[in-house]
Amino acid sequence: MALRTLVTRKALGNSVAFRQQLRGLQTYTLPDLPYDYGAIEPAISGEIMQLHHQKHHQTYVTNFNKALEQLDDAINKGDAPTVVKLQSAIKFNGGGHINHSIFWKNLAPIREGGGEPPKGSLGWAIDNHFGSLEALVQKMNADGAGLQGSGWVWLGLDKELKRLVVETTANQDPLVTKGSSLVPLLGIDVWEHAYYLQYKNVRPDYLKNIWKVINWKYASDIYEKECP
Amino acid sequence: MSRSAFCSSGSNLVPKTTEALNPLNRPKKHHYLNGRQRTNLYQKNHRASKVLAYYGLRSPPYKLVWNHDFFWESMQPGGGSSPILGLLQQIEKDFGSFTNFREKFIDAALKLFGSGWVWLVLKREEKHLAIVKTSNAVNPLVWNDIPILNLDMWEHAYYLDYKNDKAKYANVFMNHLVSWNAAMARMARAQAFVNLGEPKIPVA
Repeated sequence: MALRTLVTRKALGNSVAFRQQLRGLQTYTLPDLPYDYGAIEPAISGEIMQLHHQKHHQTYVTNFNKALEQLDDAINKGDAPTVVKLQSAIKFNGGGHINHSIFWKNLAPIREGGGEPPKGSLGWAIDNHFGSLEALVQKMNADGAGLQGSGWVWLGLDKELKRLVVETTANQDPLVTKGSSLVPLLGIDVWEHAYYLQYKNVRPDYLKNIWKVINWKYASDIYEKECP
Repeated sequence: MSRSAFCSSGSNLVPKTTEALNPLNRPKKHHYLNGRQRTNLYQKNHRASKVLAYYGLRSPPYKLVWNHDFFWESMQPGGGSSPILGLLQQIEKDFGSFTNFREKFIDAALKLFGSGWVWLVLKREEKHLAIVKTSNAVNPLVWNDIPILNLDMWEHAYYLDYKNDKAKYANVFMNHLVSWNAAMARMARAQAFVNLGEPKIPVA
């Protein structure tokens, strides 16, 4: 596990976070990766993992906190137009933080179980609903490759209907924007920053390879919690 | 609206024949781009099959091809600095100053969420220049605006050279790449469709 300079990172966001904490506002912080940046290679390069985590995800966190502080201000001043205007920044940056926090847990190094097919009730539900794991992978790859622009492809659970679904969302919209009863089990980031340095424009190759490091254990845990 | 109308008139880098309208026939020489641009990549990206496959068959591929061709023509080697004559006057009229326009253009590029484009357009009804952002493959022609310049803000346009530093990329575009020649030619053409007022004819 690489050394994490937690103190430095907290110090960087200190001024905003400190002010927000003084006012009792919830601040969000960048979660640590459960593995080294290079541990997912060769499926995803260490360079991508580092940029993705330290730059992209960190920017979402920083801007999310900033937008929330501005929202708090606007609410206190009764400034309705600003409250409404901030919604898109909150959705974008907050969604980015939520989605990426799930994404890091969706990946695992091969020696820690990455790529191992799901067993137990999730494995059974996948076979039941999609026919086979291969069929699910094929569907997610097709939807992910076909997504225009930036977004995510998800394996989700509709916790009310007790059914698995494959969905896509645009930009940083979280899965819940496609249905309030949807719980994300697996999300694959198909923004270009997630793969471009390594795969260039060949998104299908990225999608083919990422399954080697998908952490099915995390997805199973969530599934079993919602469908005991 | 003829596409060739928007080809840069002063540039000897863009083929003038109607073959220019077919991006597949365009000679794959993007060497005129600033050396920082990865020319191989754009050559590959412009092969029709890859364009179709990459952008998904659901999206009309011609929109993206059009936007990209417009983008190549919005740049030139040794570009940057600022426009002169009529276009500069119009920019100063509609944005206050060229500096202000430049700031607003870069700001739009940084504030765009997701994949998309930033455009300088001439608005037909309102008869003034404006900066607009579009998502994915949207082209402001659908809103009846006349495009004068654009900047590709999809991540593939800058990621290899600038990683996530969008500000640096947008500034390099404005300082070194943007072709005001192309913009002025397009503006001249646009004025055939939009009456911006009486010309100042000097009295003898």
